[in-house]
Parts: sequence; C-alpha cells; structure tokens
Amino acid sequence: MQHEKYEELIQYYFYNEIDEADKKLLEQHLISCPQCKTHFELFKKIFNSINENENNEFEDKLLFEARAELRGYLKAQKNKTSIIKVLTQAFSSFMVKPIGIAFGGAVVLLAGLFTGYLIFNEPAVNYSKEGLNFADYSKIQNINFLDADPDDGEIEFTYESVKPGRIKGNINDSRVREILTYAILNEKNPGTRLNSINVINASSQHKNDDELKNALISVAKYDNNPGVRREAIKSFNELSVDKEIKDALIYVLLNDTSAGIRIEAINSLMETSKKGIKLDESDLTTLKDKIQLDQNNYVRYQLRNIIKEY
Amino acid sequence: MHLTENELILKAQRGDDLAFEALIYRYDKMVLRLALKYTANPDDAKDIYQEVFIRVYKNLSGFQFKSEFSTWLFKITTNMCITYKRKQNRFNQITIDADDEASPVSQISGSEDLTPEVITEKAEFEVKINKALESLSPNQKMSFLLKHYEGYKIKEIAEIMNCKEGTIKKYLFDAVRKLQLKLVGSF
Repeated sequence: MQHEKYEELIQYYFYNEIDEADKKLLEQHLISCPQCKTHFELFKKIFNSINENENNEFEDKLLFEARAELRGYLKAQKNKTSIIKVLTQAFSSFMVKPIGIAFGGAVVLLAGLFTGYLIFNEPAVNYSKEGLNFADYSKIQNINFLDADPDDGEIEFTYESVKPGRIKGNINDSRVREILTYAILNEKNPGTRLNSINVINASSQHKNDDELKNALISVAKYDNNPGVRREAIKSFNELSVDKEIKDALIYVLLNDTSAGIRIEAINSLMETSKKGIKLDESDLTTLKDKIQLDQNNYVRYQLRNIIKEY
Repeated sequence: MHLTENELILKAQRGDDLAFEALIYRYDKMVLRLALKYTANPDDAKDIYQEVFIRVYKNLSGFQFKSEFSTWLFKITTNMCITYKRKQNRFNQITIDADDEASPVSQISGSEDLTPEVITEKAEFEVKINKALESLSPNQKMSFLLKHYEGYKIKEIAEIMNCKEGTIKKYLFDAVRKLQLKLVGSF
C-alpha cells in the first residue's frame, strides 16, 4: 500500500472511524516506516491542538442578538402573511358575485386615479399611524421624539423606514410599544434608546410584556452606553420581577465595568428581593466571591449589606 | 410538559410559534457556532443564522420526517454557509485585540484557571487556525468543521452535505494536508 493510503488511514485512526483490520495494518506499518511515523506525529499534534484549543463557546450576547433579530423578522412575516390571507379570502368570496365584478371595475378606475395622485403628489411624510405598515416596523430607524412626555398619555415621534413617517399615539397602544421596544434594542443613538426606555416605562400595560423584558435584559447586560444600561436596570423595578431579571442583575453585577452600574444592580437586587424573588444559595456564594474580587469599596460594602439580609 | 422533537415539529407545522421557537432553540446555538466558525465574523454568522431559520420557517411544512430534523437543519446551514457571500463593506480581518468582543482573546478570557500566557497562546493558535481554514475550499472547510468541531461521523457529514462518503473523505484528506502545510511551523 502506498504512503498516501496510510496518510488517509492515520486520519481515520484519529477520527476513530477505522476498522480493526486497517488499524492493525497501520500500526504495523508505522513501526517500519519513518515517513508515515512522522506524518502520524504531525497529525497527532494538529488534532490535539485543535481539540485543546477548541473554543466553541461564544458570548451569549451573540446568540441573544441573533434570536432577537430572528424573532422580529418572523413576527413581521407572520403579520404580513395573516393580513394578506384575510384580505385574499374576503376578496375572492366577494368577487365571484355580479356586484363584485362591478366593484372590480370601479376599483380599477380608482386605482388609476390614486396612482396618478401618488405620482404627482407624493407626500414626504406620512402623518398618520394608520398609514404605517406595522409589520415592517423592524425596518424603522432614526426615531426622533417630537413629544416624549407621556404625562397626557400620548407621545409623538418621527421615524425613517421605507418611507419616512410620523406617529402620534397612546403610550398604551401595543404597537407603539413594540416600535419602542425595537428602538430600545436597535436605535443607534443612545439618547433615543434612553428616551424609548423612559417613555415605555410610563405605559401602564407593560409590566408583563415579555418582549420588553427581554429587550431590557439585553440592554442592561450589553448596551455599550452606561447611561442606557443604568436606565434599563432601573426599569426592572417597573416590571413584574422574576428569576430571569434576578439572573440578569447578577450578571451585570459580575461583569459590568462601571462601578455605578454595579451599584445600581445591587440596589435593584434588593428591590427584587423585597418583591419576593430571593437570592438562592448559589447566588449568595457568587456574591461572596464577588466581594473578594471587586475593586470598588462601595460595591463591596453594598454586597456585604445584601448578604447580611439573608 | 416536555414534548418530543417530532411532537414539536408537528405543532410547529400547524403554525404553533411557541413550538417553533422551542424546536429551533434546541439547535440554534450549534447553527450559530458553525456559522461563526465558518465565517470567523459574528455579523456574518448572525446573517447566516437568520437566513437558515427563515428558510426552516418557510419550509417546515414540507418536512416529511424522511431524515432527522437536525440533519435537515444542518443541510440548510451548510448550504447557507457555502453559498454565503460576505458583505463587501465588512473587514475580513482577525484581530487579537483584547478590547474587541469578537476577538479570540476575549472569547477565551472567560475561561477560568487560565494564565494570561496560556490565553495568549491559545488565542494565537486560534488566529492561525482561522487563517489556515481560510485557505480551504468551501466544501473542504465545511467538512473539516463538521468533523473536527461538531464531531459528526463521515457518513453523517455525507448526508448533511448531500455527497458520497468518498467525496467527504477526499475533502477531509485534502483539508488536513493543506492545514498541515500552513500549521507545520506552529509546533
């Protein structure tokens, strides 16, 4: 057998995909062939190095982002599909009747007029929220608040999408909240992200919004702006706290580089504890370890305080 | 209640979004990991991840249980990776800047009990491996990743990549030869 064939067998040997007969043949050959022995040793080094250096884990942030983007897309897709489905069914049942045919003619005429109107009078801005295709909100960017004060229950903002638009709506409107949740995660401008968090906190119906909770957890853990992270942490107190929020706070406490944010996380942990989401044994061990490691005196002091309560 | 994979697929095929999410969350980390390993770029990996699961979402109703769901999923993933065109405005560089979240150093640095020297050494090797992997053809690279990083058997890789076992063996053999040439000075 040629050396090349043995090279192949060496590979299967390390993959553990070699049959017994070939294995014996290879082992015997290696004793008498220095060339293949050298090849065997080299492959062993590469194989072991790859296995030792196998760094398959990546930060949860990437997975979280990927899932959030996918969820947004699928949601938009589903809305689009269901609207089209309903319209198609209604239209086809209507069009089989004689009145439907007459109506069809009228629609064609109106469509022509409307197309002409669009061509010659294309508006630069869509001023009503009815004109916005909410299914496409994932394409929205550059949100600019005209009225970010939710005291009267209404807010107003412009945005850029396929077409620019402007929305004035009630803060408790679930679709407005969806856009703001999306903005919290995806707007480039930290001021807009911050405003979106503040505005959404004024809503009275967001306490059990899981998407908002997930967005805030993501922002608290990974947003590159400390002000936005801090606001997201504060917002947890407005939500129905649960274990996921507690875990996110512990994550922030362990990983955030800003001492101020870590202190905010400790304060929020105290709040969650008051609301019944207690730290378990494993959490307390983690916090005790953190006391030894944290560089900031006040963080260490606050950590001792929270541990004393248990 | 814990549902089996087939039960989840059937529910997802009937339009149950929660079942669909539960189904993909069983495998999506592996898909992202493979895409990340293949592209060495987190943004590209996310794009592939999204395209894979959009395709799964659109075609799940046609899944007829003729193969394992995971095999079908990885078939889509490998096709996406191999045919993926990297966006032109992105840098195709690998850095070991510790401040860069996507760099090998920061990815390894979370591991406990590693000295800075070991972390640096591992990161450097990771960079070399990634560079060496860049020299492989798409099929060689995918075969190699599925074998060495995902631990699939040659027969399974053949099924995933829709090739004969002999073809996969050839890809692996050629891939290892190229990598040996690239990495021989690294030991």
